[in-house]
Amino acid sequence: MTKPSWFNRLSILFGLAFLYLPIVVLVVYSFNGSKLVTVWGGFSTQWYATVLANPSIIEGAKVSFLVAAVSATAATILGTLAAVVMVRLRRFRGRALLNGMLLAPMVMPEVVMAVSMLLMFVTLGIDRGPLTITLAHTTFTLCFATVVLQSRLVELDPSLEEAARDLGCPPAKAFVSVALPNMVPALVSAWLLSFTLSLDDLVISSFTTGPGASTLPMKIYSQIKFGVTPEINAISTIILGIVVLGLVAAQLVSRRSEQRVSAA
Amino acid sequence: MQSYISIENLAKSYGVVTAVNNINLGIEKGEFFSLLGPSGCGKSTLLRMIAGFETPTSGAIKLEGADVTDVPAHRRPTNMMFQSYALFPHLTVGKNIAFGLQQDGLEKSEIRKRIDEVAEKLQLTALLDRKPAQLSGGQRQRVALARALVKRPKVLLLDEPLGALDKNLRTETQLELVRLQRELGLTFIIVTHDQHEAMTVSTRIAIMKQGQVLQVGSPAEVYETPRSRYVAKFLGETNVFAGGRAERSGEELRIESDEAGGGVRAAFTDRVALDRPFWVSVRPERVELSTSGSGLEGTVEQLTYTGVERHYRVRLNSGATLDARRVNLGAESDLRVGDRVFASWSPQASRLLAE
Repeated sequence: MTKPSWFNRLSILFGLAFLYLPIVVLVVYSFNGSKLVTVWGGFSTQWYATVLANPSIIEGAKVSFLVAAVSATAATILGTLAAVVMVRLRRFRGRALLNGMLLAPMVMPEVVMAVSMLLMFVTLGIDRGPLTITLAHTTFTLCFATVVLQSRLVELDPSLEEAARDLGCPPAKAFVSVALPNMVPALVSAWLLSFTLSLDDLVISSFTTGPGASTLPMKIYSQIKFGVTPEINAISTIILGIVVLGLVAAQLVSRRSEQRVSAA
Repeated sequence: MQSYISIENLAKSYGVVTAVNNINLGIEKGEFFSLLGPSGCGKSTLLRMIAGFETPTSGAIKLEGADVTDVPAHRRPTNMMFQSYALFPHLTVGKNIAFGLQQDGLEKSEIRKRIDEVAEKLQLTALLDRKPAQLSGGQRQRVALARALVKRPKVLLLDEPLGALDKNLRTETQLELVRLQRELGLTFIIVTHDQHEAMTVSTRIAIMKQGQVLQVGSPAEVYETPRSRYVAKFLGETNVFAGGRAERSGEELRIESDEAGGGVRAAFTDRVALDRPFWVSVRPERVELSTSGSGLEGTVEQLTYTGVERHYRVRLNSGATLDARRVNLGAESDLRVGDRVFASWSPQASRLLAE
């Protein structure tokens, strides 16, 4: 391996700075003692105390995490079913159409999806609240979950399930006892991906919510309208911490199961 | 008489493609039966229908007289060893082997006993706690075999089981399979495209082409008396010449062949209609070459030394080529490239073939 040149080092430095400088600034200023966002007033954790004492923020966080957890779980289950159909049934009428429809939400403008879902909920007369947000989030995270699970299922030898059936296992049980355990890393990443996507969604949540059900991003957004406070920095840092922890956990899970499967 | 396994008018098509075309086969208990053919001949589809993974378009599969055509794979008394081995990567060797027994709801102690038994037979005892990823190719192959055998199936199905092994290990494993099969007295059906493998392990071979069975017989039968040009060429090497006018004298036929450039003698048979196009074939090892005498005249064009044998390629005066072989008994070859030679063989070495 050749040593990185000065140019390589410099470009990496610039790249990382470009990506992470704003986040570093955010984290640093969340520990600002001053009330003014851009003026450093010494180290302090007072804004974290303020956040934790703010019932509105805590309420928003609760809604957000609940919606994210439920919709991520639903998206992972539905995504698994969709992936099985797409991968295992090679030929059926409407396969190409289904495939396209599964992937379309990835590129569809979020506003379009949000408006259409609002219209649907209104038409069906469903009261808007945490339930409608969850349904909407399940819909748009489903395609991401499907893509992740589909790519794993393609790699999985179909004769594994055949072997299980051959050894006396009914088809559904064969899938659960042989295919699913070998998809754990993909299931975890599909769930985490759906969870994070749901957690930071603002547009679809705003359109499909009702009175009394505001997610954290919605609360932050409405606070920002009155100016950025150091409190926002603290909330953002907490969310950042949770996401980083989740990513590290996912990484560890997939690495461990990879070692279990492939390495000696 | 009803066979142990009987396959009756079995057919399978995928849309307009016919994979298996009206096959009838009877396989007896305790046989080591091969389905041999090139890729795409339908042999794997046939095996998968016997296992229950594919539903036949028409026809029936019977096991000990009972129709199992519509019995799903998990309720059939057959077990399969997969080409990819299909070992469960998340389970240890021991749990892989136990999997099938657990499905049957056997007692823990009984499962333990049967695993130990099969592990000992296949030298897997030391590997029971390993994961499949930690095994060599040969070890994985043995685990796959153990997992299928531990269920004590009525029929063991093997789908190209040795394809992933290197040549030396493969020969060793073929003999091992035969030994196991005799010892257990089980019925084995193996799918292979390797004619050498089929000859080595089988009691009988079915040679398949384009979804049909062309000929069934013991290795010696199909090699010595192939009924068609395809079978003769597929099993080993052979010289084939188009036959012309044939004259019978007693138990012998004298056949004029323009392709061979002369007359060829053959034992009389009524199996092949001589008023339709037919061919005469002779195996290279049955051809004798001499520098004087009679027979088909030609020139040695190529000489190959393989260690066990010397291979001669002779360009006959008619323009056709003829292959001949001599076992290497230590002496130098008296024939060189460019020598004039006469090729001859006994009438019993000639085979008459239909299309």
